[in-house]
Amino acid sequence: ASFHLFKVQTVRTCSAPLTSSSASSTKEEPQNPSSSSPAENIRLSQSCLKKLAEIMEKGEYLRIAVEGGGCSGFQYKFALDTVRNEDDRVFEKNGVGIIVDQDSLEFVKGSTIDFSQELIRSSFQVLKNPQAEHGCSCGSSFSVKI
Amino acid sequence: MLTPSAVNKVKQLLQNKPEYIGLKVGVRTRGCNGLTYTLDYTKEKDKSDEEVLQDGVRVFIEKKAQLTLLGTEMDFVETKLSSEFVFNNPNIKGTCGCGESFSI
Repeated sequence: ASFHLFKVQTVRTCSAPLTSSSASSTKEEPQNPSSSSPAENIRLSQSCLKKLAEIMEKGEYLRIAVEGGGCSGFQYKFALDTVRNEDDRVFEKNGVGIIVDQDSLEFVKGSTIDFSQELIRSSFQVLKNPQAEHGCSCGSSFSVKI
Repeated sequence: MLTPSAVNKVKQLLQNKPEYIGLKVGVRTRGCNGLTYTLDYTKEKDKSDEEVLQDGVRVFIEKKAQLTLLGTEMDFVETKLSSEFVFNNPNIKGTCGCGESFSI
């Protein structure tokens, strides 16, 4: 547990300037992620947008969170949520949106959210995460680059 | 053993695909815990495949996967966010993360 804590602290220290700039842009234009740099954004793939349009009801968002756990130290959690908290960032496109809390965003910014469809399983995935070292198998767990 | 929801999903997958006779379950070395299952359409039954016929659907188990699937139930779990075939295996010692990878 202490090792994970160390990793978290390292990441947060490195990205401190980005955190503050993202916080100020959130205040000015809470629904317009294009106001910040691409590295701060989360992209949604075509398959992700299509799936979201299928499953979302009005006022619903896909919430992405990063938690400790899994085989590589951190893992992604996906859930449907209708509540937006103060520290949430919203990324919207084509009428659908995802929300990410500020702490989790530090770990997933610059990523692409995809909906992958295979015979054996279909699920949302975080791809091309610049902060993540390669995880294992399904990709729901990852470790952080130091 | 297939659960009713797995049977339904396999039926649905094979609908309008007369060229395939069923699905094939394999096992591959991958992931943090050693092994992971694979699933593919199949056009033919290999000699060493074990055939599971249930409610009109056919699932073939590759030889390599047979040992790991002894006593296993194949289920299909669907939520709004994801859907997947899961193998409830009484012999599994450990899984990690999403549960896709396992050891025996």
